[in-house]
Amino acid sequence: MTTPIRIVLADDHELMRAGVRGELGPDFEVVGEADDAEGAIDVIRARQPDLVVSDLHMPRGGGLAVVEACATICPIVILTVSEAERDLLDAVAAGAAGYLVKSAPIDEIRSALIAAAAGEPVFSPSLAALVLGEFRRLAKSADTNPLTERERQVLQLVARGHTYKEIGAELDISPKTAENHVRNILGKLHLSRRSDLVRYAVEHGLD
Amino acid sequence: MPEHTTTVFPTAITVARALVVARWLTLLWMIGVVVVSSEREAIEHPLAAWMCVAGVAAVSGWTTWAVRTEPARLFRTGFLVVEAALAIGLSIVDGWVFEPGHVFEVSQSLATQYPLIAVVSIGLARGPIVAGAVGLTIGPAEWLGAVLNEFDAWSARHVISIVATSLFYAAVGAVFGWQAQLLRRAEADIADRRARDDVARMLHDTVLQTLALVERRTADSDPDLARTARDADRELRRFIFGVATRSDESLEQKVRTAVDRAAKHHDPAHVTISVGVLDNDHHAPATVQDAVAGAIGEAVANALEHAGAAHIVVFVDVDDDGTVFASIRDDGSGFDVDARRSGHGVDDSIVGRIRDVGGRSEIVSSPGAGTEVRVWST
Repeated sequence: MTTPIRIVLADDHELMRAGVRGELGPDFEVVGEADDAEGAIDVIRARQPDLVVSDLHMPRGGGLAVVEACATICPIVILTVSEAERDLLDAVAAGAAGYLVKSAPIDEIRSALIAAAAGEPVFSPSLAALVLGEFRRLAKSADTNPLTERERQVLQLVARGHTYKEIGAELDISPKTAENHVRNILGKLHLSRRSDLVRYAVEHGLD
Repeated sequence: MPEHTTTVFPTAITVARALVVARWLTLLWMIGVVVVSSEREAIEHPLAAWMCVAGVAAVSGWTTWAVRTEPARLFRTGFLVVEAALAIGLSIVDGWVFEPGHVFEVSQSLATQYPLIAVVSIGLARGPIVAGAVGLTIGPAEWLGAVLNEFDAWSARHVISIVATSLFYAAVGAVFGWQAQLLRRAEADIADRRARDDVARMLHDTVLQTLALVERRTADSDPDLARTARDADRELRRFIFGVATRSDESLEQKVRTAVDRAAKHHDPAHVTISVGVLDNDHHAPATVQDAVAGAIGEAVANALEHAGAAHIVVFVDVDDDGTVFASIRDDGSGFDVDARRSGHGVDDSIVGRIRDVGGRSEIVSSPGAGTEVRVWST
């Protein structure tokens, strides 16, 4: 066993934190906890962990604020109750490494966190569907689709539940390339959201 | 219509405030008319004229006080009757206070603005019908005023003038009352929706979180409790998302309902079902949506019952031309598609259902490699 993954937990429900902490197992070491966004940002800056697991809805900013402030420090995985949420997309667009649904089996949560700590996007099928929808919306408003045809194919296959390996086999590319496509897609989502804001600001005369 | 007396919607108070200002302006105008007319000696009953002014002044003062302390008073029947009586009274007395021959002349009168204020105020509180009816009485009141003014040279022109007056005030009252009613409904809707969103968010943040935790912590130790928590979680989620969105079911809701129904009796600790629905503005016909949702439900049930899957992914996409594509994928045991042609549920429940609405379907599977059911609605 290598050194455990140093992790910060942010959730305003004590019970939830206790539950996650208790079930993470020996691969993880919880180095900090916070019950609101500001506290989480402080702890993350002070402890410089390998990974952050943050609730989406918390006092003083929520998961989105944590991602905006700390996405460059380490991967941040958002914990959520429901995956059908726009806020979730905002967090992912702001740079979150992915998200986990609170009701998911603990084995899955564990393996997803290990993958996220290794820098892999935790990109579930339903998030892929949400992102596909977002790009379609963007394409409608900006009349150019920022996604390449290949990226769209990859995204749709992720949304249909294919693993990177399966996507590689299906499209005749390596699994690593498939994963890189997903990373690029997230980068584009991040950028297009920002340019959306800039365009909005210019059109409305804001600085 | 008792509910009107208790519900004063926010915009109504703004309008009521504007009406108070309008009453004071009317009062100033009336004072001006009485003073100028007195100088020209055009007033035959100055006392009555000043009493009209006093009446409007009293109502202006009272409404100013009411709007600042308890605006609901301005929407009660007692006040509205006073308002209507004042409008009608002014219209009648207007003829009587002036010298004979005043009516139908092009000169200033006491009762042009107040009836307008009255019908707007009544329309705001009681809607178009009552306000319209009050508006209609202004014409006859003016006719009475003309009689008191000793006018007797009636011609078609005068009758038309009085009918037009009635119609004018009735129209103002009706149109304004109608708009006020629309506004009231819109504001009630907004308030309603806000309240429901608050409840939904609260449940979402507290109860669902706890249920998720209970569900996971008891998955191994107490499967019954885990299942109960899961069911409660589902019901609550359906309720929340059901009330937070539009009442007619979207394709996404139909798909989620079908999946939930298919998974109802399965232990959630061993299977995760992910549902992604990309619905756009190009809606498919309801029959197509129902067929696709039904096929998805069947495919999920098959995956749960026969394949022993740990993950099921449902993906639904709607094309720009309204074609629905759905994929139901599991990582279960899979089967040899060629070896099993018929006799299994797949053919009727999925293929048949989709064929009935003019679509096609495809099943990709091999032993040990899971199954993907794909359907297209055209």
